[in-house]
Amino acid sequence: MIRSGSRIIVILLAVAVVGLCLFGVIKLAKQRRPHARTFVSAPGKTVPLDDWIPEQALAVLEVGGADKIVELAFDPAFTGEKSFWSQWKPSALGWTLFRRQLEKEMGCDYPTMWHRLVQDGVTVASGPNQSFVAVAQASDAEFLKKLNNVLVTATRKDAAKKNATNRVVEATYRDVTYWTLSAGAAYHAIISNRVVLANQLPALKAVLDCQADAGAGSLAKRADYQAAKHAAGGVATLRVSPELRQFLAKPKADGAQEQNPLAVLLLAGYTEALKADTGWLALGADLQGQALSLRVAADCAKPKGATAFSWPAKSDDGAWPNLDVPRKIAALSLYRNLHDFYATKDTLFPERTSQLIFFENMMGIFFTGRDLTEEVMGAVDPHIRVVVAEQQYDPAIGTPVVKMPAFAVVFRMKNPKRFARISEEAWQKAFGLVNFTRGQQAAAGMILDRKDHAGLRYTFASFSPDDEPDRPKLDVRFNYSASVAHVGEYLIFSSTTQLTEDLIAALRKPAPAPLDGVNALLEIDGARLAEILDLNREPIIRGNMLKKGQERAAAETEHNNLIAIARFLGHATLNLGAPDGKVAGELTFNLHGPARKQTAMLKP
Amino acid sequence: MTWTPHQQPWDRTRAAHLFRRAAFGANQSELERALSDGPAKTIDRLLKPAADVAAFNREQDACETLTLPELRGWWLRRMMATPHPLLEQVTLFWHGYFGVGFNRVNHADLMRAHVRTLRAHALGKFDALLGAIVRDPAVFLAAGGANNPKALPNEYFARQLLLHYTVGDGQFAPRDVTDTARAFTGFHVRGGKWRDVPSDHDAGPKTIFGQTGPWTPLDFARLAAKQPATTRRIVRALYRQFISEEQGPSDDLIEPLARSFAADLDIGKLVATMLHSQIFFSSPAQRVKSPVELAVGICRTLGVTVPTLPLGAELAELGQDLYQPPTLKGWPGGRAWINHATIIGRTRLVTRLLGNKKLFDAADPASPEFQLA
Repeated sequence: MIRSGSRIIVILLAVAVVGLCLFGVIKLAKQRRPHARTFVSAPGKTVPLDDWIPEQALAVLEVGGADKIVELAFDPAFTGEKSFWSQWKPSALGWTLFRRQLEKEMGCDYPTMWHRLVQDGVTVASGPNQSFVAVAQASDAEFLKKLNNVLVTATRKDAAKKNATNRVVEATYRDVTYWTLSAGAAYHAIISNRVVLANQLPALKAVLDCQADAGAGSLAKRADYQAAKHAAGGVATLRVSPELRQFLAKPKADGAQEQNPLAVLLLAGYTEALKADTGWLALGADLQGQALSLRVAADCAKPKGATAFSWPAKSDDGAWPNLDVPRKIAALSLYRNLHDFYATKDTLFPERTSQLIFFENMMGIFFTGRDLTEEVMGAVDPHIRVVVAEQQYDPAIGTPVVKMPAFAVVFRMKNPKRFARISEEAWQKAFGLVNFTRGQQAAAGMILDRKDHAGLRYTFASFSPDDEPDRPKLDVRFNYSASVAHVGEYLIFSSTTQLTEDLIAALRKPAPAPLDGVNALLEIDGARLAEILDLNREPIIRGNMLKKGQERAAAETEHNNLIAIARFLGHATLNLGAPDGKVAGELTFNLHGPARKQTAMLKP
Repeated sequence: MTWTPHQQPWDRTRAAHLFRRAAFGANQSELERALSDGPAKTIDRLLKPAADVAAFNREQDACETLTLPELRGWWLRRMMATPHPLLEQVTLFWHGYFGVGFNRVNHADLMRAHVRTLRAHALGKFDALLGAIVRDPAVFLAAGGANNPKALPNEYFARQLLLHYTVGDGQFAPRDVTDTARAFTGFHVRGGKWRDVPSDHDAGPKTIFGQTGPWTPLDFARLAAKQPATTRRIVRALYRQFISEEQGPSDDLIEPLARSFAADLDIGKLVATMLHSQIFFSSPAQRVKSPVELAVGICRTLGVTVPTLPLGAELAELGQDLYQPPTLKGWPGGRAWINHATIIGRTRLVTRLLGNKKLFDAADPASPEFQLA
């Protein structure tokens, strides 16, 4: 059993190293230096070091092109006086002198030393009993030998000066010499152009066993490890063993269960899949041109049972590509069988909360007592699409102070002839009730009306601006002109008439082919998101001043950074699904760039 | 003990006491300056600071948004940063005095306007404040005065005005109630907006506090503000705010101050008399800080601003929900602030405020300023 301390260290180390790798990828891409592209080509250059990693390893991180990470680590922008890391930078005089001496002995500067040390890749692994090993492949054996001699000699001299001769120990195991320069706190060995580091002697010996036996007993010989590596791909990959994953995914002791139905609808399929199996978990990062991809893959099949509602029954089915409308900020396409979801609600969220009871009561009113599972949820098919788009405000009405994006959800009806009327009636009842409630509070109500657009009549509800004196600073409610429209077999619920009309045009195009193996596709346009953030600059800054207690200047800086990040991340796409029957996810940023063509999940 | 000006030696303890009562608290530099300036100059500066308070308040007004938690957050932020803390302290006092709460008004814009009205008149003339109050839609909604038809004058609303805002219990006759109600006829609040319907006004003569005339709401405010019972109530309430809530002051103590207040109805002058007085600096002067005073006091002492959106919610849990006094009587105050739950909550709040890294960065724990907190 792994102790909790070990678990934390494993997670922290993994997160820190992966974070550093990803930060490096992003930073290099941001700087648009020529070597950012060199970094991309690194995977081909990486030498697999996993033939020396014992198969008992719980988590393994392989970094190809680690020399570029080193370059980044010594970048003044990263290590400068005002940088995040500067507080940990060793600044003692002794260290500086030692470093200068080392540079003199090795005939190169300190960054170059590190560069040559890890040039052909680094693999870090954590094992049982809080053990860690690292294997790095240097540029050449001579360099490594010389470096080792310098370090051992210098440490011996220092130890002798301090009368601590047992600090440096040299021994041999399986014909390989290994050293400790810290009285057993860490061990290392040099074999040709590879250096092995370990925090415990048994861990070092396990590595030496692997190399002596030509990789026997190493991770490289395990099929599941190779499968994980293959599934993750990328220049930096983290693979978590089945044992560790089982431990991490252990259910909470109090048996706490997700009770939010919306969260269950969106996530249950994935959380259950990640918890159900005990196979490996792998994370990969890659950069191709301006496209940064992060890929998570798990060795677990799509689950059956209560959460089967989120997985297509047929292998060639899946979520549809997202709808394309002008000024689109974000879009989400889901494959969710609402009928099956609601039919298993007692298993998925067994507690009948007051919100759930309220929801069912209201739906009972809106849908005239129809059976919610069979006659309402069952009346739409599993392809659900959501669109969020920037609004353009009609000068005749005015502009709200807070500019909310328009949003809409599009369902596909199984029986449009029947359900179109039922959904229209429900919508009108809902907005009638909104008006009644607002009337009770002496607040302005919405005017329910119908409108013809492109040969189609749809219903909408909007507030009249006639009594509003300050048209450029309208209340937030003027962001909404809620509408319901029926376009053939599609049902649109939208927050604005403008988006409804854009969707009518989009839905009249030929039906798309489903994305095989994908059951959720989210895309966000960073540039447009940045635009919305900029449009709402003042309310957001003020909100942050209150929420975070910031001064205006700090809140403005934070907001500017957020806008810069949104612009930098360009077009982001998240695919979730089960290609080849195994649960996986892929997050891609087309940095600075426009949207790429929507595709099924990339096969590793 | 009398209202004669304070003559005792001016020291750090007395200066800190003055700032705690009249400015939520003082930071190190404010205390140093007070010690060198002496009490008279310090009190004058608290009443009329040199900084451009109007510009500060205009800037703050522009930030105020229309949701209750945000309004609450902005007011707390204003209290922490204002160059005129006494104005905010007295505004908070009037907020409790009139007891107008969002739970009865249901319009954030009216609540915002109500507190701005209180701030505009907080240290001005009481008759002007009462004149603004009797034309404030939030007050009408909170006190049950949304409808005032001539055919059925709203005596309930009239009684609330007499009972809670002016002369008080036992100080008015049934005729005062009926005729005050008649004075308000034709003034309604519809959809959160003030409506004056001239055809619905009762233009006939009314007798209020023994004076007869075709009184309007503004006349009522003028007549009521000058009533000795009203001025006594105001003086007693301010005594409780600034001096002590442990024991009610005797009539002998209140009467001279009430008489001088009735002469000009100048709230600022009344507050100044209290702050300069010997009794203000006397030892029995004890009161329990309200949750808002406690939190804002810590922040002002340390010279920092904290996230006021969550702070507002936390103070509401401790019993003081800004913009939502529980009844027209406002918050009971005094020992009512303290019970087994709120004392734990207060301890947690103080610990959290002091545990904020930003707070510690701003203050040197060894400094007297820090120890005062």
